[in-house]
Amino acid sequence: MSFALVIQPHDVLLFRDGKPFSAGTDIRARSLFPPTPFTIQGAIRARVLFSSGVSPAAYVSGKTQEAQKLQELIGTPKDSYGKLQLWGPFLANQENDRWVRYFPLPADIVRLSGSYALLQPLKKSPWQSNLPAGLQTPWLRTPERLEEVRGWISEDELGRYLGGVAPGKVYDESEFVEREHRFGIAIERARRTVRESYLYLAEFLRLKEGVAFWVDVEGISETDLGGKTGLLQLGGEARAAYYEVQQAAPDLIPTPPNPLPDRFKVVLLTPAWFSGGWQPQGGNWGQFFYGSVRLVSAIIPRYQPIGGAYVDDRRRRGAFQKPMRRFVPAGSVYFFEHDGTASWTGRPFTETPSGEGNYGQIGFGACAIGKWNYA
Amino acid sequence: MFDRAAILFLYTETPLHAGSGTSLGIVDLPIQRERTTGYPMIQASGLKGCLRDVAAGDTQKVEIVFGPETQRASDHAGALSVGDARVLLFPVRSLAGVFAWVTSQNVLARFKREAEMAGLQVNWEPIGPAPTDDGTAFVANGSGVVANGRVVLEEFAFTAQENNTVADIAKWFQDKAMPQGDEYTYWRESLEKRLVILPENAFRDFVQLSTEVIARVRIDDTKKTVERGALWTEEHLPSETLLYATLFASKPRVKDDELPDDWKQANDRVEKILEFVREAVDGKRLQLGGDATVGRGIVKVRFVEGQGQAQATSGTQTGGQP
Repeated sequence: MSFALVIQPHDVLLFRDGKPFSAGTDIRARSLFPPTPFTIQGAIRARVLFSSGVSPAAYVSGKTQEAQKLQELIGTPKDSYGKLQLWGPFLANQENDRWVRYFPLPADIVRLSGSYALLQPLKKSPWQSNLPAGLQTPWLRTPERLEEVRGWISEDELGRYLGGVAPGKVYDESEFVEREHRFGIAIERARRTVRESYLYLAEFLRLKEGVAFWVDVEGISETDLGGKTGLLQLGGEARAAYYEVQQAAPDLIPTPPNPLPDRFKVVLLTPAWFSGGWQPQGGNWGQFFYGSVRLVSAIIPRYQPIGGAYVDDRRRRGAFQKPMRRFVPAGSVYFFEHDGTASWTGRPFTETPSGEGNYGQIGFGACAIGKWNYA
Repeated sequence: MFDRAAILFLYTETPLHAGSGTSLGIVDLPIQRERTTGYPMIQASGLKGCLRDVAAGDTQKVEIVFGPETQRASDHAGALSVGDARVLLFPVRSLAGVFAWVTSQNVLARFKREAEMAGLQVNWEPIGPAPTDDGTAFVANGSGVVANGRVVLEEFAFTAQENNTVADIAKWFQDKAMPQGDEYTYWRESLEKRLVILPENAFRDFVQLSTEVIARVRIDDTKKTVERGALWTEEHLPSETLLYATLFASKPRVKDDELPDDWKQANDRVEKILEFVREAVDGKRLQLGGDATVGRGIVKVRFVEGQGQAQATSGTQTGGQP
């Protein structure tokens, strides 16, 4: 069972980062965009829980038959996600009655005198460098100055990019969302004046008309959610959002060729976590591929720290903050090479820290695979 | 998770200043606005604070509905989520009939979607002049703001075009949205004659430029002249503005044994949450926004709940997205 969820906000949304936000000292709350898979899975699983009619307490204890069925479906509160499988979230924009998906811009795309070009690994650097593990420098043969570029690309452009073509248009974040700054205060009830040290500033996200979050869902049905359309509680301040079940869009992103081309690159579309920081411990890429592959180069923007809070009853009363972990951001590109035949296992391109539910299952490590050539 | 929704209509009886706290413009203290559309609004946090304040009394129920005090905020979440209050009808000075209530297709489409989601029956379609037509305004037959086939609002003239749906919309607002009570009979009845559906750009310009800007000074106690540096301007939503906010309710987020006795028995606890809010505010007058001590921000409230479970309607309507 596979469908897509299109999630549109009722008004504004707030997905806080991990920076402190407390009275009197750290008065500014900022918003992440887009939200991380943690947020989306939480909203979806909570929707399933509330639609099931099982009380949260019964779900946690798992003693009744209904609660056990629910635990099989969406996992336990502690460390599993049951049958649920998510891919995303991404952006979607309604264009002529069709939802067009947008993905974070791969980091090997650079701006070159007004248009865009692709960085590619150098065959043999004529210099010595301190790049680890014999990696090659990403390069572009040009006398012009290169500029870093960030943003989003459409699904059509992503498809062409995977074939080795630089995109024609990059969409800035501001084409999808506005950041709305709001001051807030607390009122001293008895005196009807502003309470001392209770002024705060929160940065909300206001998606533009026709813009939504898109996530592909497997393992649950629309009946489990409570219908084809409905309400979700999403992000800070318990803001409301509408969801709508869509038939999964025809796959415009080409499925990875099997076997993989001799030179292929893996592009992360959502953040990923690796045991060795930017790579699996000891460079163990074998877990994602059949056959042996060799990493040639990688372009990885600055890490994205992601934390969060536990919401289960037991941990919430203690140290409810999740550990803050550094993730490889969406858009990172890994260049691989192989000599024989290799193919992708189909597993999400991420690992999971011990003691946590499978990150790959809730949308981390979503990737696309394309081809490359030496610069 | 939200299982039910209701709509709160707020009719401003005195000018309302929900301050945004920042100013880059000519007015010192501007009001809160939506970032993308520029429409005036009241942030949910202010509205929720006010509702909580009015409902105060039964601390146990207040905490279940609105959440615990800040110091214990992580104990559990409140069961009510308040949306931003959005503008529905905005009064603008008119050459004929003194003032008109203006709205637009965007506003109507957005409202319709939210009202249907809250389970209200909406028997009209959002209409408005064609996107390319900046010079036409829709009015009901026999409108009171038309002079010589024109609607003249402030200094701007529009060609009046009579449309039967305008009367349907006015009728619906009369029944469902305008404050109840005898003191509002006249206003409810005059709605049809005053309702004007404007082109989108014109509506946006009016809600941005025709708000009430009030200059204020502080008088020096002894000299009886204005204190130096004590002149400032404040922006207000004019009185006779109609706003609406959506309320979303979920099941109480506390264990069964922490519920009050009468809620424990209830089959539908979500309904109890909305009932609690309705009893606290329906038909009452609230004070929202700043300048309470100079009489600003008095709103008359109407709480409207639809039948059955909240349903999100299709998000594919034209317009109406934030």
